[in-house]
Amino acid sequence: MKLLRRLLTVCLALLLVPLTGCWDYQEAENRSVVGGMAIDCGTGPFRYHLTFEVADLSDGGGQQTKLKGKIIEANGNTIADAVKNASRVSGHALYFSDCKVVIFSSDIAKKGLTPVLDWLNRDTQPRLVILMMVSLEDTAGELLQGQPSGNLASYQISDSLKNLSESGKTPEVSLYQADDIFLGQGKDLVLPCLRLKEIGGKEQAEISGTAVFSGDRYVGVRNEEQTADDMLVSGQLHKGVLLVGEKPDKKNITLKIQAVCTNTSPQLDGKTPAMKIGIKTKCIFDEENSGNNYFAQLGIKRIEQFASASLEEHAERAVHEVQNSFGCDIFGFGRKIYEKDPKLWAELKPDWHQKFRTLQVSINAEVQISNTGFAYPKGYE
Amino acid sequence: MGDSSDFGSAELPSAKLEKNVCYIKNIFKGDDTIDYRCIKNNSGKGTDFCLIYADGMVNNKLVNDDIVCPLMKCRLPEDSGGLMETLLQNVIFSDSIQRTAKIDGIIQAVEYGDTVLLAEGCSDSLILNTKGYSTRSIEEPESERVLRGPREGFNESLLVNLSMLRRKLHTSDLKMQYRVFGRKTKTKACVCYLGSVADKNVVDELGRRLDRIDIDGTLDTEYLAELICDGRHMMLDTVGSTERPDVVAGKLLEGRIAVLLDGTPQAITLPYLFVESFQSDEDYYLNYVFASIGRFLRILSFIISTTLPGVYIALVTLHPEILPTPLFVSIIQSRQGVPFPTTLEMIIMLIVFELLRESGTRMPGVIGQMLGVVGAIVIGNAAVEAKIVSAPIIIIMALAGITGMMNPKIKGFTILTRTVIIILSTTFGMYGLLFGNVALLIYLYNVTSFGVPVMQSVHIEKFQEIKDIAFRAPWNKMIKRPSKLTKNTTRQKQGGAGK
Repeated sequence: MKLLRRLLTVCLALLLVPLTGCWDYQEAENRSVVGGMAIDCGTGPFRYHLTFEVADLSDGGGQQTKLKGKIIEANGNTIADAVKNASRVSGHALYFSDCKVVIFSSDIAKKGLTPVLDWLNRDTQPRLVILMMVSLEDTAGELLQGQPSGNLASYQISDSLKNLSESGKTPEVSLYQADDIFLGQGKDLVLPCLRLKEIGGKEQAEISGTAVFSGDRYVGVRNEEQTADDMLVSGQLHKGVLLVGEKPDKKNITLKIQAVCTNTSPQLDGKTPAMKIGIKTKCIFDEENSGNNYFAQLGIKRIEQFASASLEEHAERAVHEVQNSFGCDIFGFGRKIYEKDPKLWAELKPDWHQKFRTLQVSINAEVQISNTGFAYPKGYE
Repeated sequence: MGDSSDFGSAELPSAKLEKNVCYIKNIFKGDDTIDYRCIKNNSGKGTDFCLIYADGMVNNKLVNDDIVCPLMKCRLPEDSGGLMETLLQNVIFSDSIQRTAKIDGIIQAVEYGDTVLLAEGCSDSLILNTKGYSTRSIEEPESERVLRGPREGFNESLLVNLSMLRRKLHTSDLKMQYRVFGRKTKTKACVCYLGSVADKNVVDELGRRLDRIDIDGTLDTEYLAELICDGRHMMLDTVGSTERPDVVAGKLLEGRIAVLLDGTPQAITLPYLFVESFQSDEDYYLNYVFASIGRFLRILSFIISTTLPGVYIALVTLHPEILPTPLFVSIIQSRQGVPFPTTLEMIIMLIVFELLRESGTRMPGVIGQMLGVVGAIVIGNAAVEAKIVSAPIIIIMALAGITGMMNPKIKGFTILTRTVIIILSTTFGMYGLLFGNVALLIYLYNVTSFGVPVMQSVHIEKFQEIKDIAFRAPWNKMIKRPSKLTKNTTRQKQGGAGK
């Protein structure tokens, strides 16, 4: 009897293996690693046309460290359908866990992003930290075609976006941040934009400017300088440079930003709500690009005053432009009101886009120069 | 040759020398190495003696000078009544003489290297201690070399081994109890422990288990170890074995019991804790910082050796999202054109490594071992170039194999665990790995060695307990002995080292 029981236990244990063994088992070389994907409107009967940039790993590797990409295109009525249809062309199943970038064409963005984001959110493979971008060219797919040497176009784009976001030139927006904005209160989405640029005879993707969204629809574009100012107002600027000068056309002084603290607080005690933004910056005096030694003539205090005035001017301009041209609250003022007084926000929410246009915003900037780089003033004997 | 156990309590048949000698010759019929030396003493009316011994087992000089010579020359009293008594007390020069008529005793004596003396007119015999067989000289054991510390190792003679042990523990507290095992081999063994430190229950339990042993022969302590171990726990050793007397002495001081067997240099110590597999005697002879680093490395190498192949398989086939993209890409590139699935590759290469390493150990000298390992890696390289396996597999195989060699005491256990974890990782991925580790821990915590759980020191009940586990604390901090092994836990008085 004991032997029978033991035999039964062993049989059951062995049966476990073929009956319940992990169905995700797949050999590494049977996966096609997707680096980036682009979503366009489909032609003909299909709603979507997807372009994937896949790492071409068919050579043995070895001493080579250069990564090559190849393009796979597919059509489908839904995103998931198109992904499955890609198997018509690709030999192996597509693998999205290393997909770093998803690019939407402006047509898709104008129709609304929510339908296309659904698959990215639900499927297990694409990660929530995938970077989202909008293409300013006719299609999104052509942005993945340009092959920089030694790397996939999508990895190149994602690396440069990370660098730009650190230096405060273009914001970096991941899928989970976009979900947070859509599901949250009082903020509108901005996504970085891509253009094609000719470099060394080839056309490659270049990040320039941001796309402004109202809800989930694309309504307009901000260029690079405007984007930098927007980031300053929304508190996303952490590092970067400030160009300062006595007159607007004589900006010879460069201040390198060490730290920025942006304090946005809603003023809700009056009849209409207003916003007060305080920007405190700590800088290093990095460069004086002139022969006149302004620094010694003006002194630190005056330069700080110039810098503060310049910051205020940039910020005010950014706020006014956004209020007048789009009416989209990309700075998150509504969110601040919601955080401070949810009941008031509930009243303001229905026509917040109108109220935003006339919102009073007062900006106060303060620049502190902590270091000048020289032990003695320039020209000291 | 009949079995001495066949004789029960039979005694010498008569007082006549001729008859006794014939009887014994009959017992040893077919054995040409037994010598029968007949001597006559001419004093008085003359007495005949016969010396029976096994050639090669006795010290010939002793026999000649201390037995034959006095027997021939002595003046014996006229009356033969107290002949044996006279010989015993006045004539024979020997440090140990026994008087017996039992056939059993006589046969054992001859087989052990003693000389049996029969005399005309006496119905019993004298057994004289003349052991002089040659044994291997005392050398450092090959498998337990140290950089610093004593270089003595046990050899095959039980008496020599016991003398080495006694030289380490000059105390009357050291108890040594003889036992005999094996119906045909009649091998002598000795159970050693410190009376005031060892746990009485364990000593009694050991005694009970040893009494139950009924086997043809015991050629090595491994026979004993398997016969007395707890339950069906064959995967893990529950008795420790060593060839060094200083190791045995150290373990006795902690309350363990040692069993030494004639004919083998391996002594077994019990109870045996799992953490002892990671301890090396060198830990105690080197500075405690280096010793702690060494111990930590050994534990780490055990973990790497058992789990690394499984982790690799689980990550590459089922959870590639955990790997950084450049690593995953290069693994894909290295696997282009390889025909076998990852699991099969891993199992093939691990088997190849073990085969080559094992054959390397059979080659003479230390070079053999290294050749085996290097050969495995070279063959691995060739296999990669022939696109039979992929390159990362060779790295994993070499790492797992070499770290497995760091703890030779649990070699078998490591290989078994590694295989089980590979199978679980292939089927269930990281879940399999985690559940496999949990199952392993549950198994380990259930194993007992003579009533002491083998994992008793791994979790911390009191801080003192772990001062010899993951690291080796300096001697002035190791104040207490492991409490589960013995009740007498005071090792040294407080502040003893400072004075």
